[in-house]
This record gives sequence, structure tokens and C-alpha cells, in this order.
Amino acid sequence: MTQKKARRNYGWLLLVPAGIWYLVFFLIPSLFPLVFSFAQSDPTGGIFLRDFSVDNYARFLDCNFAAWSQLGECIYLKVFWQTIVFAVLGTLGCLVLAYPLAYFLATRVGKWRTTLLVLIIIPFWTSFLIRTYAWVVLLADQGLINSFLVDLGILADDARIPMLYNPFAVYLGIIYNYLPLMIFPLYVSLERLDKTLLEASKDLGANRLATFRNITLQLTAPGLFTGILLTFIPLTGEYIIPAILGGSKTLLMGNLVANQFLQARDWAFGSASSVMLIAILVVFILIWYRFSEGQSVEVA
Amino acid sequence: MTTADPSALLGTGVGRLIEIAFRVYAALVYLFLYLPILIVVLFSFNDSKSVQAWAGFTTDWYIKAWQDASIQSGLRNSLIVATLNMTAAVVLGTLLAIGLRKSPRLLIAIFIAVMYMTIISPEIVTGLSSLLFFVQIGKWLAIKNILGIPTIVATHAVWTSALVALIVRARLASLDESLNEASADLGATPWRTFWQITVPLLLPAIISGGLLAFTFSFDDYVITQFVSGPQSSTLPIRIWGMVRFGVSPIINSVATVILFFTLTSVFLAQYILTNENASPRPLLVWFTFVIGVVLYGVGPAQGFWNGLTGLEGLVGVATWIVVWMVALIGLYWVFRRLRPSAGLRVETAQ
Repeated sequence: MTQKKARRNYGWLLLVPAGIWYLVFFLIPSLFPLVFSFAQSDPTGGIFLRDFSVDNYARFLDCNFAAWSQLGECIYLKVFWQTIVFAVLGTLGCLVLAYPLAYFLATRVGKWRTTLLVLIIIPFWTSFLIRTYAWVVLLADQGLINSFLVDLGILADDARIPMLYNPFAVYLGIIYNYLPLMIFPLYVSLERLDKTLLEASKDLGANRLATFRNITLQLTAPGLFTGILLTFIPLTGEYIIPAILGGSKTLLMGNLVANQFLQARDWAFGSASSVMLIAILVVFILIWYRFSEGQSVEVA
Repeated sequence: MTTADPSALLGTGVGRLIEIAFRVYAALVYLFLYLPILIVVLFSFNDSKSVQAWAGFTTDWYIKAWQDASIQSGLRNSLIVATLNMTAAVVLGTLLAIGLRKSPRLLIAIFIAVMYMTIISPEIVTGLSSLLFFVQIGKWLAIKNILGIPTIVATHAVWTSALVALIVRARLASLDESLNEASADLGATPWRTFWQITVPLLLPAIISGGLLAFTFSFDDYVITQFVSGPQSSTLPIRIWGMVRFGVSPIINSVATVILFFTLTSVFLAQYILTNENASPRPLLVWFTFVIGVVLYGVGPAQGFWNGLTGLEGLVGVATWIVVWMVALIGLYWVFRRLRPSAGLRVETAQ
């Protein structure tokens, strides 16, 4: 008995270092933007912790809806809305493109499966910045794709396709970087799928589409929900991809926040913007939780 | 062989068409994933400053990258950060994973929730929260220039240790609890059981977790940018600075070298960890070689000590030596352990 009790204490103690680390360097810092968003910025950088007000939020929400379409009006709310659109469409894009590949890997590939899975992770091991920047080389007006098409005579030299510094380039960058996050959870749940159910469905007279909708999609819902969670949350805060591929036209919440912190040095307004960013995530998680009902897979 | 089954099942023309479509689609996705990397590797050998057209083969960019002062200091900082972070993440994460095993249900749920939060929370939010936190702490404690390598490591270790913990936890779940009990019954202290039973059995998970922690910390830009000071710019920050002025083949060569070293290390580690009978010696030799090259490159060859004077210089040099001594001894220790653990795994399987 005494021995068992000693072992229990021992196990609990092992949690202390990580527990303190998470508390001090993660949980407590998480509260700082919330507090600072009500404070005033020190123009030389930093924050005055006095004169608490909602000014920063008022500035963010300041909007003349009648003049919504005009340039320069409601700039922050437009960025807010654009971020939601990009995150939702980007996640959907990843989902639609990842599902067939995950299905292929889980059902069609035999001994090459491990190799093909590893091949999906390898890009993660090179610099994220450099990989994203390589797309500039490919997509630019004078870039490799356009030049290639011109050399082939498909395009006229003065009719090069504008592929860079527009929303298309940003979506491409998003899908390029986030696709693996969607493929893995989908693969895990597709791999667990009992294949005999598919045959049973076929034997009972269901066509391919009905089988897919009623069996495959239903049973892989946990992977679907995990993938959506893993993609949407980091995607909402993304700012490297729009900064490199989007030019100055595509401004997302991440760019707004980063600019306030690293260039404008308006930390209080930056904090308020980041709280608005977190608000998107909280609403998303609530919706996600409502629909997923605890269905998710662990990808370790 | 592998395709025979589904094709036979479907049989019809439509079925065959779908099979072909699957293959074509998969090939396109892999092309999409690898095209940028191919471009990077290819143009690192391009004999021209332009990245638009091929102008012959050269290795000049590698030499230029090697001699570039900002890349040198960036590489040095990145290696220090990644090594310290790996050490912290492995210790914290392993203890966490083992501790969670015997904890009350509620505590497990809380910790798991926090761990997932640290991993998926957008990097920009983590970065700016930590920035505000550290700057405020600096003000309260009157520490000037608090941002630097320690703050980077403290922030990186949060989510990389969670990653290590999840990987170790997955391995722990597949282990036989009775081994620990047997060890205790035979009179071993918990301390001894930990080092002689638990750690060797968990080693594959700890190594792959540690490698991941190192790689992610080495490559991180977003968080690092918020919590690094002027003297502690890491390689990704230097790369970002160069990228802003237009692409340079120097960056391509740096990326190619990093890719080469990571891939070789990971494949060797994977090979040794999955083949019970493989000798760990090649991996040890390889890592020693890599560490030697890096040590030479960022140290004596490029005047690592130049900027440092007086006591600061002494401390800097001492830290540098200690870090790499610890790394080498650690590696040696790890490979000494690897053999008994492989034997033990075979026995437990029977």
C-alpha cells in the first residue's frame, strides 16, 4: 500500500516542470493582449498601463457602413471580414484537394504507402519562408511558368498571366502550406475505415455516390473535423503567405497585427486587433464543437 | 499487385477511369508539393544572379553563403536556440508524458487541452503575447534588453515540449506496464527503474520528438521574430531580411544545405530506429561530422569570437564549448543506450 502511494506522488511531481513552464510562458502571457488592448500605447514602443479605455476597439470598429465600398473606409472591419473569407475558403480548398489524395493513400497504395506519406512531410523540413518564396519565382510575370508558356508559343509576350500579388497567389500559398495538415487526419480515419462496409453497401444495391455519402463520408467525419480544426486555426493568424504572395492588396488580420507590433509600434491597438483575431477563433471553435460533438482523431 | 484488388472489384470502364484519375491526381499533388523545392535546389547551382533562366552550373553561391557574415551569425544563433530548445523540450515533454500516465483523469484532460492549445494556437498570437509578457517583466524587474536567446528558447519550448510529450505518450501507451512493476518488485528504486527501463524503452519516441523539436525551432520565423532581440537574429530572420530585397541564389544554397542535412539525419535515425539489428555507428559518425563542420564553420573559420570582448567574450566562448560538449556527450550516451533498448524490445515482443 505504502509503495503504491509513493508511486502516485512520484507521478504527480513529474508534471510540475512542464506545468510551471506552460503557466509562466504560455497561459499568463495569453492574458496580456487582453489587458493591454484597453491601455495606451507608448509612442516609443511599449505600453502605458493607465488611462484604461475602449478606444482601441472603437478605432477598430469605427465604420461608416454607407461608405463601405469607398477606399479607406472601414479599413479594419474589411480586413476582419477578408480574414474570415480567406480562412473559410482556404480550409475548404484544402479539404476538397486533400480528401481524394488521402483516399488514394489509404485504399489504393500498398507497400509504397509509408514512402508516399513521408514524402508529404518532407517539404516541412525545408525553410517555410524559402518554399513560399519559391512560388514568387514560379508565378511572377517574368517568372518560370509565364516564361515557359511564352517560349512554347502558347502565350504572347505581352499577354502574360498575372498570377502573383493577388488573392489567387495567396490561396495557392495557403493550400501549398496547409494541405499536409488536412491530409494526415483524413488519412488516419480513412485507413481505419472497415472496407467490408463498402462492399456490403454495394451488395445492397447502393451506387458509388450513395456509398460514399452514406458510409465513407459518415465514418471519416472525425478525421474531417480534426483536419478542419488543424487547418483553420493557424490559417486565421497567417501573415507570411499574404505578405510574400499577396502584395499590398491582400491584407489579413495577421498582417494588421504584425504591422502594429513590428512597424507602427502601436502595441495597444495591435493587442486590440489580436483580441479580435482571437474572437474569430473562439466563435469558430464554438461552431466546430457544436457540429463535431466530440468526434476527432488523434494524430501523433 | 496492390492495384489488382480494387480494379477487379470495380471492373467496369468507369471504374478503370476512376483508378486512372486517382493516379493522375496524386501525381499532380506531389508535383505541386515538390515543384518549389526543386526550383530552390536547381537554382542554387545556377551561374547567374537571375532566377528566371538557367545559365550554367556553379557552386559559387555555396561559397558566398558560407562567407556571408549575416548568415554566419544567424546560423550560430539558430543552432544555439535549437539545441537549447531541444534539450528543454525533451526533458519537459518526456517528464510530462510519463507523469500524465498516473495522474487523475481531470488533470490529464487539462494538460492535454493546454498541450493542443500551445500547438495549434496561431503563431502570431503566441509570439505577440510572449513579447508583451517579456517586455513588461523586463520593465518590472528593470532588465534592459530582456529579449534574446533565453526568451526565444522559453517560448519555443512551450509548444515543442507539447509535441515531444504527445509523441512519447503515444509510445508509452503501447508499452507493457508490468516491466515497471517487475523492476520495482526486484527491488529497484523508482529512479533506477526510470533510467534502466522507462528511458531505454521510450528512446525511439524521445529521439524523433527531439529531432522534430530541433527542426521546428530551427525553422521558426513568426514567433522568433517577436521575441528575439537585435543581437539574437536567427537564420530565418536573416533569410526574411534577404527575401524582402528580392530573391538571391545565396538563400537557395542555404535552403539546399539545410534540406540535405535534415533529410540525411532523419533518414539515418529512422533506419536505425526501425531496424533492430542496425548498428547505430553510422548515425553517430554522421552527427559527429555534421557537428564538426558546423563548429568549424561558425567558430574558428569565421571568427566567431571577433565581436565578443572581455568577460562577455569569455562567457560566450564558454557557453559555446559547453553546449557542444553536452551535445556530443549526450549523443554518445544516447547511442550507448540504444543497444540494450533494442534487445529489450525484442524480449518484450515475445
